[in-house]
Amino acid sequence: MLFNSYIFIFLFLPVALTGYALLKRTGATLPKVWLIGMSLWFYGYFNIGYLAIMVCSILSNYLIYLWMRSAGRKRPVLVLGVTGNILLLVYYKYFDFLTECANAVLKTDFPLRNILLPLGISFFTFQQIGFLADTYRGEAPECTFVDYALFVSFFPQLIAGPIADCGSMMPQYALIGPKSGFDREKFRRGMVIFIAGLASKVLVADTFGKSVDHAYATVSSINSSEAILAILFYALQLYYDFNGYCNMAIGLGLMFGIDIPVNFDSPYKSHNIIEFWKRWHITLNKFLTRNVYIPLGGSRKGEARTYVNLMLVFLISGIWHGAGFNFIIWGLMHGVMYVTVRLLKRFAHIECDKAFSHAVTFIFICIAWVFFRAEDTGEALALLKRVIDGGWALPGEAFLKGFNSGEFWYALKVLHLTDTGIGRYLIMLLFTVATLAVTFLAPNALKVTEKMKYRTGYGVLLGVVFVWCVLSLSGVSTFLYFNF
Amino acid sequence: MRQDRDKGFVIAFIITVVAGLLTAGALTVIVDPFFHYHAPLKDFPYVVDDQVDMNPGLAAHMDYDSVLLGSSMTVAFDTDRFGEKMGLKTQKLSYNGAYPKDQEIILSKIYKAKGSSLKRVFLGIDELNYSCDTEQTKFPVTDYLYDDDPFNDVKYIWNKTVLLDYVLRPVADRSDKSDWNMIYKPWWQPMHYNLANVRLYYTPAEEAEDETPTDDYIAGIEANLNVNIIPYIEAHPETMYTVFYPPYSILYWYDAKRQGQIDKIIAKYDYMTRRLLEYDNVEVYFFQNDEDIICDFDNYADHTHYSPQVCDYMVDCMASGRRRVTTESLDEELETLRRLAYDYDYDSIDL
Repeated sequence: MLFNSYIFIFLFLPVALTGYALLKRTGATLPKVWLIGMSLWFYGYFNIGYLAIMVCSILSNYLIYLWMRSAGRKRPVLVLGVTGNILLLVYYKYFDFLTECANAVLKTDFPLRNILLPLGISFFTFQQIGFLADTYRGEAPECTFVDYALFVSFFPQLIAGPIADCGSMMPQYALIGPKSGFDREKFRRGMVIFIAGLASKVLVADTFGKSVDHAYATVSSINSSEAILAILFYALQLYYDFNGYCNMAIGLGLMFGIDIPVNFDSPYKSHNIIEFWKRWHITLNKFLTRNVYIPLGGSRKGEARTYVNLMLVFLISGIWHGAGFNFIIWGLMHGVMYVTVRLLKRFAHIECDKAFSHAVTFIFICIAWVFFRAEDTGEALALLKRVIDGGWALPGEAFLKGFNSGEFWYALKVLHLTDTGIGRYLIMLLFTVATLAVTFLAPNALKVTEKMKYRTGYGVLLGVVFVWCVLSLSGVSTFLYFNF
Repeated sequence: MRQDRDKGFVIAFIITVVAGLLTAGALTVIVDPFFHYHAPLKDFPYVVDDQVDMNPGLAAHMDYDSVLLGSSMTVAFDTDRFGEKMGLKTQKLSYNGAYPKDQEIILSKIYKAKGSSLKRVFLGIDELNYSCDTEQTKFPVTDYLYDDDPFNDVKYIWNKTVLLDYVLRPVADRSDKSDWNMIYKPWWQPMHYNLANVRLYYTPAEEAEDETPTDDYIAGIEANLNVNIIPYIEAHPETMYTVFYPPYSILYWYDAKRQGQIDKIIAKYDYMTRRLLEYDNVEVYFFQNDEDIICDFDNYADHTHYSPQVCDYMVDCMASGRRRVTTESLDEELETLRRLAYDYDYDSIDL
């Protein structure tokens, strides 16, 4: 089930909230069981077959947790648990990729299995690995099976993160019960953040997405301007897509009185790649730091080893995002940039002009996203090649389709530009500039709502935005991060 | 004081949402631009340009006694001419690039609405599309407009595209209003039907030998006829099925020649025609070998799509019986086509 769907907004969410509010009066266990049940429905709605995989994963990890506790946090038990999780991930996410690699290297002909990737498997697998590692380190609080199942399956964060750590979630689950009451302030803020996320996804990300999809579907025939715009538009599409999902997750959590960790903090405002990774997918970065970088020695084993460790972290990040060499290249590009910036800071003591470093960082990120979006490395290189040899011409009508319908037509009508050729270019330009201005200059929804005064006028404005979003849901698209 | 202001925020939000959604939903249901609930309003300037989304509604709620089915080869027909020549009230229900499954789906909607009162089906068959998988549709069908589930109608009722582009926009700009007899008409104007325009879109096919055995094509056609077309012909002897093969230009046959497909295509026509003519309620019209049409590029906007005048001529033929083919005359028609396709002086075309 998608957050941006009629069934979620008009059926699932009201039922989940009402049941939770009613059951909270009965004690601590039933509301949690209710949330787990609703989360299983949420997950099973995508594909009932996925549900068994997730349930088995939760059960087996909880057994490992119990074993680790009873055996005195022995390392072999941790290794067993982590290996089991990684094997699950490798099978479902990387089997075909590894088979293709083996066939290419060994000149064999092992058949591919075309395994359907269970949604969110990377997220709930990493979250459980993090939990086992925290348990091994003695940092995880004791928890019941119900609390653990809720920790893994809680629907707002199940499909595309954040990768929550037990230290921030379990204490909140412990408070669920008759005494926790209804936090009106949190609910209202959650509602505002959820609608802001919905708007980010359906009004902004999906508009850019139409041009991006067209460009990548016709890479061999796009011109240079379309290729450049496709690179920029995908950077904006992914930003507002992931921002939308993260906001919706946080908003939903708040409606249930739960604070979900911040995962996205205006990352394109970053002045260098190090700052970017403190703002983009924050919880994945934290996970990799705690569970890969530090165990590898972090920065404690000398300069050279530090940079090797950093490159390994970005390699794993690339592989985690997808099974393909394009994702590996994307990860390594970020790794190289990260190490370069760190070296410059460490040895050259170069202080760049802020605007310059901001621009360089943003352009680098945009180019790296090409490898992230493309089906494979060949397609990514083909698109980049079109920037140079695509020939200069204005973007075509098909590329601008997303800017030439619906509400945009009325804007052109008001401006008396419906019958002129420049209308759609003007709309594209205004929409893109406005989006970039908000991206670089405006505070994000979390910050805005921290000090928001809930005036009547804002209620009307929020209502209008919500209605606009609901009317836009019929062209539903999935979140880009669902498949990672 | 703060509490009152907060209450105002919540109430304002709820009122705005309820009012907004009710208004949007009501406008869509009243105008019903995809005819999902009722026939078109008398004076509303409907824009009828979305075949996949509008055909089921048109089939269900329009007033007609015959239908015109087929691919983009049928969109230039003026349905009023069927009335003038044959006294029929014909509804156009074309699907661009239609596969047999598309025809099956819309036939089921047509018979659900009209039952045995349907007098005639004019069915344009493109042999190229009849060898595909029997369950394949050209485009995904829109679930909420094709199924009977009332709950997923929410995707229609609260739909920004429907509301802005098909309910409000026609009112704001009546210039796109569709003529009911010419719905789905191509954008080409009379000045576009000439060799210069054909040349714009046409690139000769690569020379290659088609390796697919003719029997494989025939098997595909047989399966599609058996699954998607013939069950309706058999179940409705009261309906006359007028099948016609759209006349592509001679350049279509140039491509077929370059790819070694002429005999295979002719074999397909042979099989299809004989199979369909086994039924008393089927008649077949053969225009493929009509030199006056297919060798004159003033009839074409590209190498396959012909002009409204050609459509008028075909309607006239279907009314008079001219160019109707029988099992007895089929061999001769196909032989004429074979000779034309092989022997035409393609070098004389100024490509």
